[in-house]
Amino acid sequence: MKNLSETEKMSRRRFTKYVGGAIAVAAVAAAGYGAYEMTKPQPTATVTPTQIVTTTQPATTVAPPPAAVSLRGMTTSDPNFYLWDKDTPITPGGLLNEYAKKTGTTVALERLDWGTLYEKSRLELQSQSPTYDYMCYDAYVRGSYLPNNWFMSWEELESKTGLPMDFAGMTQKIVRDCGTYEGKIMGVPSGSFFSPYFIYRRSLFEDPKLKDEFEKKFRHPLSPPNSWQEVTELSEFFTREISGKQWYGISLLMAPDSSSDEFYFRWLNMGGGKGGRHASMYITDENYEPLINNDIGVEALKNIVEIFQNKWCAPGGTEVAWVDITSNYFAGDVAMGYMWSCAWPGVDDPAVSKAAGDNGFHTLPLAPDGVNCHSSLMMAINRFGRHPEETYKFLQWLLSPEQDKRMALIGNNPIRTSTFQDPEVQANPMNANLWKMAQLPSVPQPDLPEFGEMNYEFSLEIQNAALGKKKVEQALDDTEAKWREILKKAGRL
Amino acid sequence: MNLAALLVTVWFIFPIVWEFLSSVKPPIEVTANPPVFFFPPTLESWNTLLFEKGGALYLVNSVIVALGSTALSLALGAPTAYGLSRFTFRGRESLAMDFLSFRMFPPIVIVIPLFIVFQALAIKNTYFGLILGHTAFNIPFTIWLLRGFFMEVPLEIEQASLVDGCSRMGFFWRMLLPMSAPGLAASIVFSFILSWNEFMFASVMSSQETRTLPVFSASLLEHYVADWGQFAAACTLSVIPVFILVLFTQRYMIKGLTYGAIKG
Amino acid sequence: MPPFLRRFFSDKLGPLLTAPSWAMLMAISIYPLIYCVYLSFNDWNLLKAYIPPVFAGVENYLHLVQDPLFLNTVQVSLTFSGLAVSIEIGLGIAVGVLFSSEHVKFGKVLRTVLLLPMVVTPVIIGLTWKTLLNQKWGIVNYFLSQVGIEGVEWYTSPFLALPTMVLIDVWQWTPFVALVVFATLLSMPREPFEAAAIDGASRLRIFRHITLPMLRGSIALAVLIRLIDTLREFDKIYVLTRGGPGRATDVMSIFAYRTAFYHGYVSYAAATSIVLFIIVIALCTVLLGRLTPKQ
Repeated sequence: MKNLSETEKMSRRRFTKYVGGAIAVAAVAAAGYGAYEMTKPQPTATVTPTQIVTTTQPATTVAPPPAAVSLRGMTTSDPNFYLWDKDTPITPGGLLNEYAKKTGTTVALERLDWGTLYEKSRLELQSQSPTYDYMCYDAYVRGSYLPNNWFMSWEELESKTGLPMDFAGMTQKIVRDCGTYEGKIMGVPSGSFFSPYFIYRRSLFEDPKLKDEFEKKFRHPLSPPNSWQEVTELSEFFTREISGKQWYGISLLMAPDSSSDEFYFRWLNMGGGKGGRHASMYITDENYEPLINNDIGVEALKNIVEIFQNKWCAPGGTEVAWVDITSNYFAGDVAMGYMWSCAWPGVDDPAVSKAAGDNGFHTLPLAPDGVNCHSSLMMAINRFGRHPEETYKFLQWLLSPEQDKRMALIGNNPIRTSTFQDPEVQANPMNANLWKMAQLPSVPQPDLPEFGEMNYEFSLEIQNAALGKKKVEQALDDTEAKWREILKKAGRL
Repeated sequence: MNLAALLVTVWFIFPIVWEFLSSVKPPIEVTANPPVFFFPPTLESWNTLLFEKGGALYLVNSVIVALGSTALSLALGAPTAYGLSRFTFRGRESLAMDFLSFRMFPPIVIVIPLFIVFQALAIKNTYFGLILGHTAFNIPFTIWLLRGFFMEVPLEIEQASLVDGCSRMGFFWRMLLPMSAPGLAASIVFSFILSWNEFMFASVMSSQETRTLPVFSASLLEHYVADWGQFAAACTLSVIPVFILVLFTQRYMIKGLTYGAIKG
Repeated sequence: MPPFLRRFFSDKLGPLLTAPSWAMLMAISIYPLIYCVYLSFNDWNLLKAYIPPVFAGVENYLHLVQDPLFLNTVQVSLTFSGLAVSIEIGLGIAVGVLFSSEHVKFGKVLRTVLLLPMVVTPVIIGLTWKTLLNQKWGIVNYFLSQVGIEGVEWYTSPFLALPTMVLIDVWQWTPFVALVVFATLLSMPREPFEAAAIDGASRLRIFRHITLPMLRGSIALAVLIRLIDTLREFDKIYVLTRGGPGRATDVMSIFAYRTAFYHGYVSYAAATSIVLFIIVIALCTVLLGRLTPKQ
């Protein structure tokens, strides 16, 4: 050995080092792949008839007490999921604890922020991990979850366990549009978020001096808006100093991914998507040609740009996101707001909202041809989970009429017609308003997996228009071009 | 001169102090405009954060993972640093450089493949998996740091002990380590902090039970609603242990930071 | 132990000591890298997982090179790094020299304060500054309005967003440079300074001709470390702007993350990450070669 030259020693050592490393890597990879193959569960090929069990079927006899089962679920950290274990007089100890006491099955709930949830849940499902028994998915990403066959059919579990879910009693629009895929129900709503609705400071709208001034200026009485043009007027009017405090008319969603929502509300309400594909939120037609670049689209975008450029909205530039809409409104110096209904429960709580007790609710201004948009965070059962039947039993209990009503009383949006029509629930003006909107025509968010990317690109173009970098028509043209590119890449065009 | 130093101090510490103040404000006043400077302090945000939202558990998790990865990276890194500093073998310098280059990995490269492997090995949502990952991030820095310290110890001491009949590993255990206690302290502190602060790996590899503070803090910024008071409390919570650690070990930390720089 | 084995262990003790770390890093760092390279040669969409991956050759890389979004990302990253590192070095030297002067009591408190920004979680730093710089109710804008500057759009304006990120990074890491400078100055021999003072040289000349050359090695290392870290920046920008407004703060890590997890193009993101990695290594190799003092 000692007779080798220096360079040969060095290269030999180098060689050993790298070969050793490569072997270590290969060993890990092989071990990982082997274990992965072995632990991958065999897909069960059960095909049950997709009959929806009617509500008149009597409950089956109680099964013998199950062995202590532990369930785990993953959802967003939206306010409604915190109601599941909130300790209130109506739900003492929290609903999850109640279920554990009742049946011995403990349920854990992981609440993650929106971005992390989708990152993590996709990785989990893609690798067929059994860690999570149930998950939630936002209706607008259903296009990237449902076709992958990751979730179990709810009807299948219903007939297996014999416990009726009463799908017919739920808000049908949402079950049908956001939860059904190829005839099977894969997702069930956790709360019906029918559409953003208007919330406004009653005291401002009822103030006689302001009413006078408004009527003189705009030549019609001060009232919650019945058209988007009125929204602009109200935004202009209420951006002023009142009693020494600077008020803003409205908060405008302008952040990436969010600004497009401002557009969709207006465009859909104004009837801009007439003739479009229902499951695509009318943004494309049946042949996937983009539809947003029409006259109404231009009008809608101009409406946004006008409010933004005149600064008739709360500051925050092009970064105002959903969270800022609520923060601003709760801070008490914004006159109006519109948000998905799941976000408002705290608005009448004096501990967190300066607008508490002073709120009125109103539907978004719908033109004769117009529609709203409905959505929900849908609950789904992991096909690769260890206890699909136990998971079904738990969710069947949680989303049953009794529990739905209790959750509605502590702030959730009801998911069942019976709950909506219950006088106690109706007593809350938010729920009453939500029920009103349920009767109005609406479309679901798109089921296209590409929608995330399309939406992102569109929101950036809206920002360009608002910042004056492009004319409104140009921004819409560019968006249409980008959408065509994305849809072509996806093979739809 | 002192004034300048004071200004610099204020500049660096102000954000943290403000967050602390915000965390003891009544939640509704946190977003008040103009800001509220005098207010009745309340522990409401802290209470909700620690007990209703499980902040106390996540704090404990962060401590466990940080301590675990510090111990492991020290156990693996100290011998390596010894090997790289005291022995002469061909390819030593390039090996040292290779270790440093591991620091250049963008974390996103690591996330997806390790997710699949960790799951297959069933260590995914466990403390061990997190510790393993964090150790891998910590080791390059630990080695670099300790190597600098070890090279400081004069060669004569080692040669003398070898002459006296001590084995090389014996020297390592009984003399080198105690002599480089400041270096070890510095490396422990930095490993702890690096693991305490790690976000991307923990966000994917942890479940509810093993979630760490940074992931929890980010999750407070919900999609629709954010409680800014709890936010501030979470920020302060993350800073307090680190602050205490720094307070007691700042001398070693500075030495550690600069040893590598000076002796290079 | 048989004698030849004993001799093996004693001969090769050095490399053997490095073996466990080496193996672990290989497994946990190199394996993912290889997998990432493998991914980048395929075409796999995470949002359409029902379509299995398809081999795509170098298509991802070819697309990368002419993708204006990616080129924008590279530009943003390099701008961010360049600005941040240069300001940190400049300010860091100033602060380090300031604290090493005899007039300043660089005691425990000052040291702790200086160390604090570096050790706080980057996610927390991002969240903290998000509230501090909020246009509507942030405290910084309040102070500014008291002196007449109204409603600064820190991270919400396409023009100010990247400078704001640079500002936060400077806040976080200037202490690192300052401490390195400070420690180096402390360990330097006093004679050259005393001699120059006796000779009547001005403070500025002393600084330029004596201090700076002595600091050269440590500054070089600080530049290297800061460069590596700023090019990989993710946490702060993720919680503050996620790459917005528009694409003003869309650095390479954020771009890769969004492409992979929000848009689903995992292979493309893998290619992006590999390119990022190559850029980092290239820059560092160049810098190391030019700045390493000879052993």
